[in-house]
Amino acid sequence: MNKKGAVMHWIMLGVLIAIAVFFIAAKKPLTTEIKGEWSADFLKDNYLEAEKEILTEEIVLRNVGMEVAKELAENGGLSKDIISECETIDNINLWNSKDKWCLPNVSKNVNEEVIIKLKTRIQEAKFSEAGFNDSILFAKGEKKEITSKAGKYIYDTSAGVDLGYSFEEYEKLKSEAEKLVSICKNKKKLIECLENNKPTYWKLGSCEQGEEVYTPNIRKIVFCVESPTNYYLVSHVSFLLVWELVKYKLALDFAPTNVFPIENLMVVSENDEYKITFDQDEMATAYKIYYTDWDVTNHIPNDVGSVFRDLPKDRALRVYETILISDANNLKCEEKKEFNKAYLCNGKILYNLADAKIKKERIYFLMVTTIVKDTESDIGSFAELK
Amino acid sequence: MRMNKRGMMDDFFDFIFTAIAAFFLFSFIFWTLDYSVKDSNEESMAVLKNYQRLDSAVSNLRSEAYLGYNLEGADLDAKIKESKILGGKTITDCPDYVKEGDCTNNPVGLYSWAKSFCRWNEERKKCERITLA
Repeated sequence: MNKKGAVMHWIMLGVLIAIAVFFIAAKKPLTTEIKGEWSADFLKDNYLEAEKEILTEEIVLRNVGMEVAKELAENGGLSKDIISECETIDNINLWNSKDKWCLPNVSKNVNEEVIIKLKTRIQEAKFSEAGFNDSILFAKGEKKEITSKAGKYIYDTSAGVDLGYSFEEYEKLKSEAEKLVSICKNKKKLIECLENNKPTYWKLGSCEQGEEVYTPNIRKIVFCVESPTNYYLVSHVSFLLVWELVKYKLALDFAPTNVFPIENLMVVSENDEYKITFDQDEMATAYKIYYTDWDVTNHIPNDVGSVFRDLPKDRALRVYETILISDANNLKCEEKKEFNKAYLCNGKILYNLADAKIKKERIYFLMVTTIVKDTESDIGSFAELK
Repeated sequence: MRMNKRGMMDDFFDFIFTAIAAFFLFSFIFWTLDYSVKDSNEESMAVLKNYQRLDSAVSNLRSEAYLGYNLEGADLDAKIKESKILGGKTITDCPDYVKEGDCTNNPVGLYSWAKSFCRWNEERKKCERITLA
C-alpha cells in the first residue's frame, strides 16, 4: 500500500470514530421530537382547560336548576318569596281569583332565577339567558379564549344539562287547573266535585300535613300536586343522595259565578202556620221567600224573572208575596221561635210563616232564593202550602 | 496497465476493509434511527395516554354529576390530575369503580388523604363516595 492509500484507511476509521463520539456525547437519539406534539399540547393546554371550565359550569348549572325547580314548585311556579297577583291562602300562591287568572310565567321565572344564581356562583363567566327545552336546562354564555404556547383556542361558555325534570310540566298543570275550576266553580258540593274530577296526583291540602284546607265561604282550595310525570329532584342530606318526588304547592279559587239555588225546601203546615225549612247556604247574604196562588210550576227551575213572567199584574187576580230574610250570616237558633222570623239551626234555615191572605181552600206555591250581595239565585224548586 | 499479485491482494483487502467499515457504519446508523423512532413513538403514546386519562377523568366527573353527586366547590383539577387507569378504565372517583371488590379495596388509592372513602351500595349495585362530616 502506498502512502496515499494508508492515509485513506485512517480517514475512514476517523470518520467512524467521529460519528460514534458524536452520538455518545449527544446522549440522545437522532430523532427526539414527539409525533403530534403540537396537537397534544393544544388539546391538553387549551381544549382540556376549556372542557374543565365548561364542566364546572355544568355542575353549578345542574345544582342551580335543581334548586330553582324546587323553589318554583314550592311557590306555585313563582320565584321564591314572590306573592301571586291573585294573593295567597295559608302562604300558598293562588293561580286564580274569581275570573282572573294569575298563572306563573315559568319561562321568565326560570330565566331570572337561574341567571341570578349563576352570577353569584360563577364570577368568571357571564350568562345572558337561561331557558329549558324538555328536560334540558341551558344557559347562554359568552365566547372566551385560552392562549397557550400551542396557540389560541376560542370556545363558547354556554352550558346545558339534562336535569331529568322538565319545567314544561307546568303547562299540563295549568290546563288541568283551568279545567278543574271551570267544572267545579259552580258546583255547590265543591269537595265532592273536586274528588270526582281532579287527577289522582292532585291532592287536596298542603304537602306537609295533607289536610284539607277548605274555608266554606271563600272556596279557596290548597292543592299539593305530585309530578304527573314522576319527576324526582336530588337533594344532599348529610353525605347521602336523596331523590324526592317533585310536589307543586298551589291554590285555586272556586268562587262561583252563579248563586246556588237553595236545596231541601220543605213546608209543614200546622193550623194557619207554615213551618218552612231549607238548607243553609254558607255564602248567602240574604234569602228571599216567594209565595203565590198562581201556578208557576211549569216555569221551574228558572230565574225569578222567568218564573213570574206570566203572573197577572192585577193584584185582585192573584196572591203574590215576598219576604226578605236579610243578614243571613247572623241568624241564630232559639228554642222559642216567633212568627215571621228566620232562625238558623243545625245548618237549616227555619221560618214560621203566618199570613192571613193564605186561604185554606187554595193551593199556594212557595219558593226560596239565595241572595249573595246583589245577585239572586234561580228558583230551583217549590213547595206547596196546603 | 498490468497488476502484479501483491497489487491485487492490496485491492482485495481494501475492498474487505471498506465492506466491513460500511457494514458497521450502516448498522450503527440504522440502530440509532430505529431507537430514535421507537423512543419518539413511545413518548407520543405516553402523551396521548395521559391526555386520554385526563379527558376520561373529565367525562367521569361529568357522569358523576349526572348521577346526582354534588361536585360544586370540589377541587376538580386535583381529581382530574390524580385520576388513574385501572384495567384500561380511568378511575377519577368512587362511582367509576364498577366491581364491588375494586370499590371496597380501592386499588387506585382514592381519598387516601381525605375524610372520604368508597362504599359499595348493594341495593343500587353502585360504588358510592362517603364523606365524613
